Amino acid sequence: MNLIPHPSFSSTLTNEFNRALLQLKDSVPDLSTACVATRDGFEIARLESDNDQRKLAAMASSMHALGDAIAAEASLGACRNVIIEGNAGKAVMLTVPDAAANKVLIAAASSDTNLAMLLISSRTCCEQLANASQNHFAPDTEFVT
Amino acid sequence: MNPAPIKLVFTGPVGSGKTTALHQLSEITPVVTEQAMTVGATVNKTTTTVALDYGEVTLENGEKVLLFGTPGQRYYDYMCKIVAQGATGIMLLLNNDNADPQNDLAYFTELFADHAKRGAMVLGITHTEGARNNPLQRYHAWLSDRGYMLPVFAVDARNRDDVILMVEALAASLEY
Ligand SMILES: Nc1nc2c(ncn2[C@@H]2O[C@H](COP(=O)(O)OP(=O)(O)O)[C@@H](O)[C@H]2O)c(=O)[nH]1
Ligand SMILES: [Mg+2]
Repeated sequence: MNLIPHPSFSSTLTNEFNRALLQLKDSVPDLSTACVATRDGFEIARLESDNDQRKLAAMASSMHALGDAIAAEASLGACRNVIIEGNAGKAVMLTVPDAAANKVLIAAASSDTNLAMLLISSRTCCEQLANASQNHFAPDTEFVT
Repeated sequence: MNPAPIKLVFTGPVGSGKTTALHQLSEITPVVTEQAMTVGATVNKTTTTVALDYGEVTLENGEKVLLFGTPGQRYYDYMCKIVAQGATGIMLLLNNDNADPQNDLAYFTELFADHAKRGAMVLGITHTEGARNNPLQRYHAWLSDRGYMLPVFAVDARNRDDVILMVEALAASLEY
C-alpha cells in the first residue's frame, strides 16, 4: 500500500528517509518494522517491505510524548528514546535530532536482536534522517504556518 | 480506607477545548503531551494533544477528582480507549463552529457508548458565542431521537465556572 503523502514533507525528502531506513535494515537484518512519524502522529516514511504503519506511527507519537512527560516529571531532561521489550521482540522510539524536532523513528526487531545493537543502529539512522531534513530545510517542506 | 477517587475524562474533536478546560480546572500543574501540528495548524491552534492531559482538582466536599483529557483526532482513538478505562464520567466537548458537530456527537457517543448509555456523560458545547437562536437545540434533538438522557450546556472552555458547572452536572447525574 502506498503511503499517503504528507503536505509538509516533499517526496525528495521522504525518498531520502527511505534510503536511511534501508540502511538500518542492512545493519539490523532482523528488523521487522521501521517507520518515520511526525510527532503529531503521521507516518511519513516506512520500510518498503512494510504494510501500512499509520496506526503504529500514531502510537509512536503518543508513546514518545509520554516519554517526554515522564522524563520532565522525573527530571531526566529531554527524552531521547523510549524502549519497549516484549516476550518476542523489542521496539525503540527515538527523536530525530534535527532543528524542527518534529519527527520520531520507530524500529522493531525480534528477540534475536541485541537491544544495544538496535539502539545504536537506530541512532545512526536518526542522524541520517536529521541530515536529510536539515539539507532540505525550506519553509514549504518543514513548517506549516 | 479512602474511597476511590473520581476519574473524569474530557474528550471531543480537535479544538473543542479539552486541554483548555482541564487547565482551567486543575489545581496541580497539568501533565501535557502537546505537539506542534504538522498539518491543519491555524493562528489560534498550533499544537495538539497526542497522548493525554492529566490534572487534579478537589471538590468542595473534599473529594479528589482525577482529570484526564484525550486527543481529538480520530486516528488517536486507541488513546481515548486507554484513557477512558475506569472513568467515572465523560465530559464531551463539541465545537459548535465545526462543519458537522452532530457527526462528532455521533462518533463520540459511539466511542464511549458504555458511558453514554448509562448517563455517565455530560455535553459541553463550546464556541457558541456567534450562534443564532438556541444553539443547544440540535444537540438535544439528536440525543432525544436516540433515547439518550444527557445534560447539555453551552460552555466556554476558557471560563472555569463553565467547566465546574459541567463537573457538577455530571456528579449530580451519577448520584441519581
Ligand atoms: N471563542 C471561543 N474560544 C474557545 C472556546 N472554548 C475554547 N476556546 C479556545 O479554543 C481553543 C481550544 O484549544 P484546545 O484547548 O487545545 O482544544 P483541544 O484540541 O480540544 O484540546 C483554545 O484556543 C481556546 O482558548 C469558546 O467557547 N469560544
Ligand atoms: Mg488538547
